[in-house]
Amino acid sequence: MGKKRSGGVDRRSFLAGIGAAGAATVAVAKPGEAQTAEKAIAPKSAAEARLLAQAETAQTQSAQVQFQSVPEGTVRNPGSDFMIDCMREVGIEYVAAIPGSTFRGLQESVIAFDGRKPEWITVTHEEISGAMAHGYYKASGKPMALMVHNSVGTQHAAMSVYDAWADRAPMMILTGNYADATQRMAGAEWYHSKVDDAEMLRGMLKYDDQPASLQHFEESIMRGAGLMMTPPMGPIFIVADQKLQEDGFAQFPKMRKFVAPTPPVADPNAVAQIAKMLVAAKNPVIVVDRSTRSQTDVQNLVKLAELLQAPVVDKLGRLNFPTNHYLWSPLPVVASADVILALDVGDLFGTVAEVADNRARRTVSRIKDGTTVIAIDSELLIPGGNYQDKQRFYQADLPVAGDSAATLPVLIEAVQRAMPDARRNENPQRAEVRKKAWIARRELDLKGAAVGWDSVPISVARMVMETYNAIKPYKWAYVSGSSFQNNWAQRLWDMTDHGHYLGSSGAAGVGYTCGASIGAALAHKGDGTICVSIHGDGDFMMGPGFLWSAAHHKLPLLTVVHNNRAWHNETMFVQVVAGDRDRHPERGRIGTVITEPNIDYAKVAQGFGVYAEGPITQPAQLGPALQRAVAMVRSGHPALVDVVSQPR
Amino acid sequence: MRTKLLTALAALAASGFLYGSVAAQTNTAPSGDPKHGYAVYVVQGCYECHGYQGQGNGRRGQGGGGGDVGPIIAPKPPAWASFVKQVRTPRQIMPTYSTNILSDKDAADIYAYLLSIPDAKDPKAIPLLNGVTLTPTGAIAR
Repeated sequence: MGKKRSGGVDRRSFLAGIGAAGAATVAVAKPGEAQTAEKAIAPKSAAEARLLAQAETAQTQSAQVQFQSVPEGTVRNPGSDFMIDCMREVGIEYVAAIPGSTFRGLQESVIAFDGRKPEWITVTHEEISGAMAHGYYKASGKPMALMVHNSVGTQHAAMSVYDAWADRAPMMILTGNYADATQRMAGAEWYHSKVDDAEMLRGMLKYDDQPASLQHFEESIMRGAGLMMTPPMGPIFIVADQKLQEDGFAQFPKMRKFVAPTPPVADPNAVAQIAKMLVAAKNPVIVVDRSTRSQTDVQNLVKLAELLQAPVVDKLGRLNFPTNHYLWSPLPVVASADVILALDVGDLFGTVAEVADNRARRTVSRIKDGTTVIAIDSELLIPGGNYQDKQRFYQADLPVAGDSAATLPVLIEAVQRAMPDARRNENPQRAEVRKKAWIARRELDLKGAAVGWDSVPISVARMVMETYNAIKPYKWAYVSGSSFQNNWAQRLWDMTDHGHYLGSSGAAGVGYTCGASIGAALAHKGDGTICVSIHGDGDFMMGPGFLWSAAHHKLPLLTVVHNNRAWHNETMFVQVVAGDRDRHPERGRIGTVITEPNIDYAKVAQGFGVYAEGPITQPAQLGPALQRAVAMVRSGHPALVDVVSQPR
Repeated sequence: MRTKLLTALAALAASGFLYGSVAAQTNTAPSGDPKHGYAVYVVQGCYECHGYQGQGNGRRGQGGGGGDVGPIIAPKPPAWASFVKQVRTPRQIMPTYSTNILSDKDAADIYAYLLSIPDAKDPKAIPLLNGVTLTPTGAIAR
């Protein structure tokens, strides 16, 4: 428990105080507050008594404070103190926000106490807040909260919420509002109010509520937290009524101890059936995406793959499988499969087939006719709607509802039971084939990386390998997406731990890396990990203010700007369309490049108080610049290196 | 067996992904100006998918975990006939360059530029690549 600035007591002391001094010492000073202040709960039945007894076990840290002498009219025990206690109870350690008056009561309740969770993280844009919570979860496994100004801040946050939704990542979003319109001041308070505050986000939320009392708030937070953290995870949105936030209360409601739900394990009969199909397969292939949440899950996946000697295709929603394991395989291996086991693969259709980006838009299968596709998929447990993040439908031969990570241990046991000795004896031969394939592929990649190694602009492979060389002596985490760097990291780095790679945005929303990188760095603050983000310049420009937060909160983040001076993906797309029309493809650069003037990202970073070098244009300069930047990060400060690089 | 092999080679040649010594034998490109070819290569935006040195995504051919941009086209570009076929009527995602946009001479100059790109260094001669793991982890679980 942290220090209080004035006269704070814990709950036990408070209760003792009540006994000694009587209820009269608990002041509710404002006239008229009796209408909203909540009364102590007296049990009306045995069942209710049990509920209250359960609540007694919970600790309310923002205990009602007794003051010896305070000015008349002082608000005691503001409702927002209790609201923050509820957030703490469900495990919220950080709140990111740019200030907004609709949650000013909540903000004051966080910042009034030093050293107490949740801690306030100041950001410069609500989209950064959301992406920060997203990155924080993926790096820590824990949920984070953000507070957004009603209406305007919610709109700013929307894209980052969508990314998190599509990436099945939790976050707790709070806003404020005077539900009673007669309480609103003219002007901004009306602009910053909605009849249905969550409406604009509802297609990307697992839960939302607009509680009308503190008890209701506690129930909403607990229900929401349980839903948010149950796979498939997702954002929740709670409206904290401003009057509830800012009014004082004679007594807070009881708060229960939060118990997180267990994740859904697939049906055991289906698991047994899957095991039989896998051991009978000649060429089983495992495909993973958002399939693991911890290193234990990664180890389980390794064990399953090694039992079957089945290649594993990691679609990189997370780091699910070590890149230096000989069973790590690229997607084309599915063409050889007779049985595919897909574990929480976000885009199953895109795994087994593709629609090429041309005028015909024909569907082409990646797999052989007759391949059996099994899908353990928690997606089946949540609805889809307006947003099309569920991707195209594919009818699996055996669709099984459940969470892959939670199901892996029982699936491993089932495979062990189902595997006959004859099949087990084939494994050494299968292993040899896969080892040879892995080595051949890595040798090919090394040859590919060597092409243009000394080129100017600096090759992407070199930028990625120079970065690896600078960070690999230390604990590290690659906290940005890798596809715009041709996945060189997965092809040549030894990525072995779940925390070594966090996946990308989820919904391909540009700007994700700004917030997500500092969220991940916040999760690693103080643990000695160098968080490295290879950050596209187009994404960077969506929210460069993230660097100020990194400097302000001293976050261990190395940003390597992949400065190809373009929103390069779009350059290529527009070129293709121009070619289709027999027009000049080179005009595809109009509106898609970031030149004239070139942006000096090092200067931008320095303006935010971040150590920075660049623009680095010569390959030989890059390694030393990265070494200096890593030294800065190790000293507890963020750093940036601007690398003028090849497009991809 | 021989028929299968010839069929496979023919398919590879038709797909434009047959490189190396066989490609060199079938390469009957007109002579071109590599310096002008480089200028056209940049202006026409070839570098955007294939890099300034033709390194692309580091893989020859599509797929293989190399990202969604173009493959390596230098050093040792595909055979001239395959090159022109891909430029005029591309497979996969690539802009179409008709003769209205890219003359035969400019195409030949680009090709000359690609031919002029020297062989890449041996990865073993590059310290950062020489240190990359070539011995995978893994075991056979019981």
